[in-house]
Amino acid sequence: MSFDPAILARIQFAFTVSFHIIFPTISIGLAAFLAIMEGLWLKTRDPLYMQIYRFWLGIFAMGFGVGVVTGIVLSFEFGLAFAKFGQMAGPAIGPMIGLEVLTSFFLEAGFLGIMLFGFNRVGPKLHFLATCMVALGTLLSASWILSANSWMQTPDGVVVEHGRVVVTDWLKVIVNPSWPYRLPHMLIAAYITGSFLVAGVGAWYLLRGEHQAFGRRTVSIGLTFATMLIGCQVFVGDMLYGKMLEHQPAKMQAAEGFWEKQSQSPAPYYWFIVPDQQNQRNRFALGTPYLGSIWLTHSLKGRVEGLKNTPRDRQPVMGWVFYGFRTMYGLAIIMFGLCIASLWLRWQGRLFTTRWFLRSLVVMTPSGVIATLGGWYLAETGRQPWVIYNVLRTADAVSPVPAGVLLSTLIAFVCIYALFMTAFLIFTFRMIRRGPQAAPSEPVATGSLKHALKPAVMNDPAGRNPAPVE
Amino acid sequence: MSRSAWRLLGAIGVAVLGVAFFFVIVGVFGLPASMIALVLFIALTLAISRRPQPERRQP
Repeated sequence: MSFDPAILARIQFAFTVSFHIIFPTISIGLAAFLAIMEGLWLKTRDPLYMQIYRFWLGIFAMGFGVGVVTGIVLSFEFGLAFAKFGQMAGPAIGPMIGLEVLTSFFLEAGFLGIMLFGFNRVGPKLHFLATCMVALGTLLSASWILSANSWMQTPDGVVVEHGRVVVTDWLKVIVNPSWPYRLPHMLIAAYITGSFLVAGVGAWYLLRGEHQAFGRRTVSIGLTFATMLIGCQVFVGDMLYGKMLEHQPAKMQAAEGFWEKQSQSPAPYYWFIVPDQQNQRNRFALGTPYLGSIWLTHSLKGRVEGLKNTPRDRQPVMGWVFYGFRTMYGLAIIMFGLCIASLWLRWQGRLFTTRWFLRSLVVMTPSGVIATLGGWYLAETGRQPWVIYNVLRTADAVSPVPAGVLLSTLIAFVCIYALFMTAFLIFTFRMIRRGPQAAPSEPVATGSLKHALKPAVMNDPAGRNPAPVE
Repeated sequence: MSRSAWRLLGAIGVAVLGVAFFFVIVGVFGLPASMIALVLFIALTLAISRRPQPERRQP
């Protein structure tokens, strides 16, 4: 049996980057949430805010650690599996990755220690500053990575000379046409992820009748932010859609599931299709009449362009793009609906007592992560067959590495990452089961996993180790 | 009309309002309408979120 090295290289990168993106999404969202919680504690001195901070700090730290480790792998993969991409695009991508390290990693590395271990070693305001700096670091990191990735989607500010990219305008490289839209889209996605995460855990406590004060506060804050952010996301998402239609029409043609150059009028909005790429048609399609015209052309009878407008050798695989988009958009609609329901229940004073709603929140706890993954599948599979849009094909970017090497490293990645994920889930669920009162007042470096989650007995001169709230 | 009937009517009204907000924010009626709807949506969220919830131990 023989494997295609190009396919294996792509599967390996898809697997490692899909795994990685889960953790930055969580840590960007949680870092901002933690900064808000500590800020509210500083302002009000309500011990419940500090309890919420302490509880989520542990989960944030674990997610942050896994995110950093799995992110480093990606840089190596550029060189190992996609060396030709590195050779060609290095002059543009390399400095941006370097700047990510210089600005965000240094900032995070400098303040993360204070954030995790400095509760009783620095004053409350300096500790709050450290939390804000870590949150800022996660934002800057996302900004540079989005800049690099957006440049691959909509390259600008370069010329290609002797098979290599030569930068002619750095501002155009960094602020490329899609970056101003994709960055807020990703950041809002991360903040929504954090909001649903904290609201979901709070709802779980309310359903079990445990840690009521903690549950009510986190459900309330999580849903308030989620509701405002989902509105912003719908708005930004539509702007980004228009921008990508302008720059990458093939991606958006595939995302909507239409093949013909012009769809019928009025166009339906497809929810489910069975695409047949070979024959350039759908074997089956299920949609809502008129909705395609209304949403995509903002008119009652507008027509939508199909994938046949793009030559076959430049078409992405419709199935991946379509379902990546539907996963993201479908979950966004459900989130929007839940947020509307939360407003209604809050208006009636039943937000914390309506069991179906609390159960829905628990089910939706990981929805932000799944939607973000869907969005990245849309972005990355929709760019194919290009790795740098209209500049370098993915097939031409792969290193001349034997398939056996790629297969063995892929298996190794799957095994190690399965270990990471298992450890992350076990520790997270254990912390959630133990509840906020069991969260350590300060993480203690014991060198032993056994003691990792045991509450530490520390001096508390600043009054940040409150008595149980309930 | 009974309390549950009022509640059902209210829920349907809110659902319709939610769909309307979604369609306007997503840009069906143009960018200016979209921006106004978003500001209104956020203001509404903030106003309702300040509403106190009655204390109950068990859901």
